[in-house]
Amino acid sequence: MIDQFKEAFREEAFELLTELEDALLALEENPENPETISSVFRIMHTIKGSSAMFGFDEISLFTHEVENVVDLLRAGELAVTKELIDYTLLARDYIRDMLEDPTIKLSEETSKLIEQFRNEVRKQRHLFPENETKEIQETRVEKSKTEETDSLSSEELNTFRITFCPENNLFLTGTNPFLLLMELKEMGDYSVIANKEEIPPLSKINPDFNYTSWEIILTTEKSEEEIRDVFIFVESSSEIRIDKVYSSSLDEEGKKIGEILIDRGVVRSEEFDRVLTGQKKVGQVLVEQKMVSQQQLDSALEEQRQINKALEKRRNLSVSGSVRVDSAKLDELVDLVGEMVTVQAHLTELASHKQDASIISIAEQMERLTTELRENSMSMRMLPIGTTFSKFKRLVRDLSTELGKNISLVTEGGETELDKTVIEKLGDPLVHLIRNSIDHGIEPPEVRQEAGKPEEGTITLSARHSGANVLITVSDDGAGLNKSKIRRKAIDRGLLLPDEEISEQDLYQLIFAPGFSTSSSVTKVSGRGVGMDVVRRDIENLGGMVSVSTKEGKSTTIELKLPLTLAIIEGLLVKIVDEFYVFPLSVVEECVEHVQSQQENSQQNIASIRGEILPYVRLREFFEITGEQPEIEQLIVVNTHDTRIGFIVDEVIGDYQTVIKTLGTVYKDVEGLSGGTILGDGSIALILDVLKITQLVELEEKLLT
Amino acid sequence: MGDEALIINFEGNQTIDKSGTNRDLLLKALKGKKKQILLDLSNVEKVDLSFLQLIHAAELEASSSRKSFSLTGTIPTSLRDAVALSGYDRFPEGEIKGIFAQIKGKGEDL
Repeated sequence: MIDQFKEAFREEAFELLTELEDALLALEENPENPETISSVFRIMHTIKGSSAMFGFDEISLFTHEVENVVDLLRAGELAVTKELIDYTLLARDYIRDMLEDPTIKLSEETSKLIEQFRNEVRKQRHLFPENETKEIQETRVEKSKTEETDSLSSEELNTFRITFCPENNLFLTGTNPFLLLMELKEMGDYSVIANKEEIPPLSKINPDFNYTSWEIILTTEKSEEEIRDVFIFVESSSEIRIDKVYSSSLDEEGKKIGEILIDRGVVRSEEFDRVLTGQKKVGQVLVEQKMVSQQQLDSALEEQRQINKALEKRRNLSVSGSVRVDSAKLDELVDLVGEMVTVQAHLTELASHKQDASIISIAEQMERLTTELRENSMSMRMLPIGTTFSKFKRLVRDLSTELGKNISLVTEGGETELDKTVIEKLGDPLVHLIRNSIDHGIEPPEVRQEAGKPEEGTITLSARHSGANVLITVSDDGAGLNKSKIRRKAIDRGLLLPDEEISEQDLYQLIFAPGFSTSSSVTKVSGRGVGMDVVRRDIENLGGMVSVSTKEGKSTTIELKLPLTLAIIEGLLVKIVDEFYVFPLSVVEECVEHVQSQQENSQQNIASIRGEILPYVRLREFFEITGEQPEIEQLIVVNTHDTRIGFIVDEVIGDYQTVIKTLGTVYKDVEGLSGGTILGDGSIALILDVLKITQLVELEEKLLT
Repeated sequence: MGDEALIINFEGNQTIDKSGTNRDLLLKALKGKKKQILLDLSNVEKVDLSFLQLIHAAELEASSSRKSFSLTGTIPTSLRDAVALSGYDRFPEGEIKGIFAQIKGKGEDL
């Protein structure tokens, strides 16, 4: 049980660390922004508090030290420098490492880093001697002292009534409520009363249960949100109410005596309410005094009721905004929906055989609902790609510094959504492409200057939707691809004959060939033993495509075209003899009838469609299927990589929602198939990897000639 | 028999991992024949909420079985701080003041 909550903490902490990285990079760009400094501080503070709560003491202690430095930034006693950002980013990495592996020992590294932080503080104080040289710890103490005296006069003070009713299983989640209370106490003037009413006599108590709830009155300059942050890890399992009972910014009279009495524990709020209900309400008094009519009062009361209802609704809305769900559960849901799609296909097929209007109508309704359910559950797996984009900012920052280049990363379309599995698998190829741009693409500043370009190079990472695909491009304004260099390399590698004619586009595509690397020196940045061929393989495994375009001396753009999802696709179901195959509908352009006798040259497998020549593949031959060939066959025209090619099948059945099932490890070496799917009647259809088949056939042709 | 007081000594950290054992210990004392039970918390180091709850539950149990239940010895600062932090030192009307009031007191020898 405790482990489960620790896991939840780790998940949240990882998210916070990502936020922290973004905030630090933003701070570097805009060092004066107090909001960014505050958010860095808030994240550090939350990580410190919650890691202590869940027993990650080392993280807590280390974060505490870093938080102290950030606090000095916040107080304007330190300036944001590149060193400080570097150290804080490194600190963030250490925290992440410690979270990933709690057994890891980083004490040497962390103490060294803390020393570096201290040196930076000393250095800055030395540069600005009006601040005396003091240790971080000391200044912090000093600061909080002055804060105490100043705060009453300058900052806005609010008084909150906080009701905190945790569940019985509070201790089982690893939560120590004292730490929460301590955090509140540190925020300002704190007064607490424990409600012990629920505690049973000893003979009936469960010693592992919590029976206590609290009412806390806190006068602080912190905001309601900051107070709520204290409860971040217990809010789902506790009832927490935070009411602002007094604000110094409002021109209110002093506290009501009832509130003070409650605050001091002289009377309980319920008792007080009971006494109040015995009193006459103001409306009643006014009616009795004939100052307002009962009707006027009723109308005003109705208005009050409506306002309260609206307020309540708004509060509820903000509470139930989103729910955290384990991603494995989502996978399971999609699996189940997949099963349902299969059953629904069976039902539709059965209904069409039965010719029973009522069953057909049910099948149609079912189909509509299944489609909606499918779309809905797929959309739950969609994540904005921006989450991966942000980590590249760090990559560009660190690597460009290392190589002495001046590069900025521009991201566009971070809100574009993609299936989470696709996003997860996209990380490595994108890292590789960006590394390539930094290392080989963007020139050193002096070279850029000579070429009349701005000293700072730009890498643009963008994402956008295009039909059932997402297009992701990585482009840089660097040197571009060098045609003659590629040609020479390709000939060296035996990928091209010395006198072979090749189109410009095809030549550029050669950089994706296995073993191809245009950089003559292997650097530690991009030369990691993987080439662009790995990028292409990764993307093709995701059902996507890679292409490159370049302007020599100006720019290079790599475009990745990816399917929105990997779990269910729209397919075109076809039949050859008694075997079923599925084409991904996204690549299918058209289907036409094909008659054997029309063929002019059966050896060349070339058809003519509306006067245009189209090479085709006879799938029956490719898969070595024997059986009678129908007189009229079907030609499916597909378009991959801007190349049109035909596939001949016996029969086209129609569109089919294809739930992709992997073929398993036994078939992992089978080429030309990307998976399988179960049809309505329980039989199996294989999903064609159109691109791979085209490549295989092309290779075979090349070998033959 | 029954005239002498029973002194229960708690030492070291008294946290959730010991709550089961502590409950059994207190319950055994309260079910015993001694009319007066004294808690000695002088050597207690760190306490958590589970321990404070147990003391309150024991007070309730003692009150229903008409036994006297109070403190003896000294009160460590850490304990007094914990009681203050958790709001266990505040008593709405009608609530037993007993041990927590003693802890809240001056913290000197009782």
